[in-house]
This record gives sequence, C-alpha cells and structure tokens, in this order.
Amino acid sequence: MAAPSLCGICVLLQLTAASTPVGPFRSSEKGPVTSYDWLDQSPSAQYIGQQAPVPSLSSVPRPLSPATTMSLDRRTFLATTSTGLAAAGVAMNLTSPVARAAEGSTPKGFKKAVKIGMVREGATLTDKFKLLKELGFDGIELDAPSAVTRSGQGSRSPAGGSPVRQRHRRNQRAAGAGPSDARRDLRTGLGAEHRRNQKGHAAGRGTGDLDFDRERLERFFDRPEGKGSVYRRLRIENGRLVFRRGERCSLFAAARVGADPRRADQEARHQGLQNPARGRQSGCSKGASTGQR
Amino acid sequence: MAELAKIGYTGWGTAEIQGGDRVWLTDVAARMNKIFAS
Repeated sequence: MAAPSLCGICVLLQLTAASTPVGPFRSSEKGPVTSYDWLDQSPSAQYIGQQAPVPSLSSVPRPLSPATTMSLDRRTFLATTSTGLAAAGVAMNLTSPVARAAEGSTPKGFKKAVKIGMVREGATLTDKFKLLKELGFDGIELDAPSAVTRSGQGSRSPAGGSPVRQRHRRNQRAAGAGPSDARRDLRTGLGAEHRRNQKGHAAGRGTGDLDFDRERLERFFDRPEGKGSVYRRLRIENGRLVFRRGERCSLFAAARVGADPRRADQEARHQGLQNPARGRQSGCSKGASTGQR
Repeated sequence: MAELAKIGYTGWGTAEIQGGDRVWLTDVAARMNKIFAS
C-alpha cells in the first residue's frame, strides 16, 4: 500500500447493508423481514428479475387481543420487544443477499476500503458504492475537499423544494416579504452583481468564486441562523429583502431561490423599480470588485 | 500483519493505490484479503 496522503481530510464511510431502511419492507424466505435498502439493488440482489414472494398471512403482525394487552406489564413488554427488535436486526443483516456476499469476506475481522478516487467505474456515487459493495469492500474513503458533489449521487430534492429552500421561504415570509417580493428583490439586486462580474470577466478578472455550484449553494443555506447566516447578510428595506451589492453569495442565493439574474434589469424596468444595488460600494469581495459604474 | 496482531488491531485498512475499473478493484480486494489473512 502506498503511504497515506496528507493533502486533505478523509472521511471513511462504511457500506452497511440495511442500515438505513428507506423504503417499503419486503418479505424474504430467509428471514422474517429484509430492509429494502438502496444498496440491495445491486445485480447480486436476490430477486432481480423475479417477483418477490408475497408475505404469508402468518407473517403479518397482528394487533394483540385486549386480553393479551392487559396481561403484559411494563417489564414484560420491554423485555419482549427489545428481544424481538434485536432478533429482527440480526435477521435484517444476515438475510440481505448483499450483506452475505460482502460481510465476512475480509479475513480476521478486518475491514477493507478504498479511496473514492480509485473507483473509475460508475457514473454516480451510488453506482460506485454499489460496485464496491458487490466486490466485497466494507467501506470507502472520501476526500475533503474534493470534486465529489452531493448532486453526484443523483439525489433529487423532494416536492416543494429542499428543506433548506422551504426554510428560506419561511424566513422570507417571517421578515414581512412575500415570495414574489423577495424574488423580485433578489433578481433586481443580483442583476447588478451579474453585470459586475461580467465586466470583471471581460477584464480578465476571474469569477471562479461566483459559480452556480449546487453543493456550495446548499452549504451556504445550511449555515445556522445567526452570525454569518444569509439573513445577516441581507438588508431589509421597507419590509423587503435586499441583497447588498458585492455580496459574494448573491448569485448562489439567486440560483437557490430560482431567480434568473439575467432578467433582473428587465423586470425592474417593467415594475418601475430602481435597482436597489445601484451605487453601493462592494461589501466583501474586494478581489472581484470591478463594478464601479 | 504479525505486528498488528501483537497489538490486537482489527480495524480498517484502506488501499491508496492507483484506481481502475471493476476488474482492477476485484484484484485489489483479493490482494487485500490475502494480506489481511497472512
């Protein structure tokens, strides 16, 4: 093995089967219940191309009769359920076909892992994880910082936007601004930011810190409320949220709430609004401050 | 591995070598198993 790299922080993820049951349960002929984990979707899964067996009536848990319920005291109930849960957990681990293939393959209780950069097959992180699980690896090491993004997993936000975005809207409403007002102000303020950076780009000044990287956006909005949060960076004028000119995060925020900074000026003219960012000095990005219009 | 056994270490081992496709990683896994078993 090569010497360990010292260029960043490594995060070791264990590829566990049935550790996070996220979907419906299915019956297994090897045990009472098997988690329908996403890792079980690998080609070595047991029921690929087949129909999973329908659970028999005897395996479906039934409610206890009133007499049985009344006869259980607290201690008996806890002892019974804890034993049952432990047995179910063991069954879930042992009956997963992927778990059987992977766990125990590393001798003498060791666990083997590879660096994420070593996996050259698979388009997404999910594919890579599945492949490693199939090959018998127990874990994977991620680098930080790295080029691996959250969107690389192919995950999709739930309906209505991510929780972060929903919280953002809630806070906008709490600040007295309707969604349309806040979006308009964002667009208006960010239009200036966009033009400013276009000028910087034309002048040969880099705009690499103003991209629309999704992960950076989500990190930005994931910051706790308080010092450094997005709402400390916002100025509330006349009950509406206004971005300061020159905020490095402006384009991130615009993209996050779905605003299109390219249309900011057009919309501001339609509504007879003065650009709230006009004439203000850049606040934080000295290096990219080029828009002395 | 004998030295690790002396101190009772049974934990993670991570390969940090050049990467590759499924065939390569299968070979890496087999070689790591061989090392751990030695």
